[in-house]
Formats: sequence, structure tokens, C-alpha cells
Amino acid sequence: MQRIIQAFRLNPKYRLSSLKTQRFKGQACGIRTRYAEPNGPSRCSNQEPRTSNLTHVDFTITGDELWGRMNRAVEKIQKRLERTVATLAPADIPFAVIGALAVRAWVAQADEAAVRTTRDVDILINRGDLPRAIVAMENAEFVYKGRKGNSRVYGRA
Amino acid sequence: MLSLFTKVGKGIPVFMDGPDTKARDAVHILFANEKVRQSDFIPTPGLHETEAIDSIPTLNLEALVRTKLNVFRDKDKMHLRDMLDVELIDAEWLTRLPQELSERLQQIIDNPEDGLEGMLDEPTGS
Repeated sequence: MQRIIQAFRLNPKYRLSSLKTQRFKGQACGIRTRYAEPNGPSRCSNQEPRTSNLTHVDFTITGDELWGRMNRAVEKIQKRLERTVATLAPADIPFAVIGALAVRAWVAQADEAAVRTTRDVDILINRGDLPRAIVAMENAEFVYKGRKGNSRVYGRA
Repeated sequence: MLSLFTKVGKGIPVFMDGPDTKARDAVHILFANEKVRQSDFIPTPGLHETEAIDSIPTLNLEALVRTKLNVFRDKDKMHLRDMLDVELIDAEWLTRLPQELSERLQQIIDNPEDGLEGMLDEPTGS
């Protein structure tokens, strides 16, 4: 159980700042939390947060729905990569897959059982191609966001 | 229409996967041949350092290993351990890396079980 709680703590989606205070949206995410008060009621985080000892996490998403969620998470990344490739390649924008997806591709060459999932799609491009990449990607319904307060210009030329 | 310049994730430009998506639902962009952080030992690889894997240009193994050693967050260490574990890389790589990166790889080889915390993804790309 500690490992499960730790996993939630590490996931920024749930913003568990400590085991004593919970702030994640339990009901909205299909997750219900209980606290350590003797005979106390279960409480969800969309109620007022309060300090208590988090001792238990109930998973209310199970079975096919749970497997579907996990599979969709992987498929979503794959589709995002495919859309990116299908956008940049025809636009003649040189690019390379980098990061965890590149690791996956290489590790899969050696042992598919060692392949890890990721939620990151990281792409390497030349800075000079960014304006063209923005046009192409926005035409493919991606929404570009650059950096605030940086002297380098990332927007369209 | 000009895109808004908004700080997303840790300051890396991104393409969000639609108008109402979260930062993690995005394509993260890194620029070739540039240092992402001033503390980086080496710049990002060039686009010539790629191989087509399933027709998709993918960073070649040597450049990928250099990148992982350069960034060296917990998840990068985990990826390096995976590559060691499946024998994509080994101690012979120590001699072909810059000294700082070689020392980091040696650290991973010497401590295969360390650094398993904080492995969940951050949208920083490397």
C-alpha cells in the first residue's frame, strides 16, 4: 500500500504534498480516499481538505475499464507521435525522436520485455525550422506554446 | 494567428495536443546542437545523429546515451540502467564518452540499484 500511495505522491496530477494532507480530486478521478479516524466517514478531496493520516486508497475503476484506461494511455502517446511524424515529414522539416520514446525504440531492439511506457513525446528539430514547424503542427490541430520572457523568439516569423 | 508565448512545463516549447489539453499531453521540442541548461556538459545532438527505426528518424544509440548522461535526472538514470540491463551498452562505452559523461556512466554501472525515486515523467524531454 505504501508503494501505491508513493506512486500517487509522485504523480503531479494528484498533488499530494504529504501523507497528512490530500488535495487530489478523488471523486472526479474515480478515486476515493479514507482516513484514519476511528469509525470516521470516508471523505473525498472535493470536500474541504483537512489534515489527517491517509491510510487507504480505494480504486473504484477496475476490470475492463481499468485496462482500457491503461491501454488508452499508451495508445494516446503512440498516436501523438504518429501525428507528429505525419505532420513534420511531409513538410520537409528535419526532426528526430528523442527522449523516452527513443529509449523505448532502442530497448525494444534488445528485449521487448524491458520496454517501459512513457507519456513524453520529445522531438528534436533545428531552431531555424521552428516557424515552419509551428505552421505545420497548428494545421494539424496542435497548439503551439513557447517560452515566456525569453529573448529568443519562438513565434512565427 | 500568432501563438501566445506561455510558460509550459519547465520552459521547453511545446505543441499541445489540442486546445484544452494539459501540458503533459504535448509534443516537447528541443533544438539540435544547443545546450538546454547552462549546466549541461554538452549540447543536444545534431539531426545527422539519427537512424530510421520503423521509418521514423530516431536518435542513434550513441547520441541518445550521451543525452541521457548529460541530463542525468532520475528517469534518465533509469533509462541508462535499462540499456545496460539489456546490454545495449556496457563498460566499453566508458572510453568513447567525454570524461564527465564517462564518470556518470561509471556511477550507474557501480550503483545499479540507486536512484529509483522520482522516476515519473516530467515534461522536459531528453
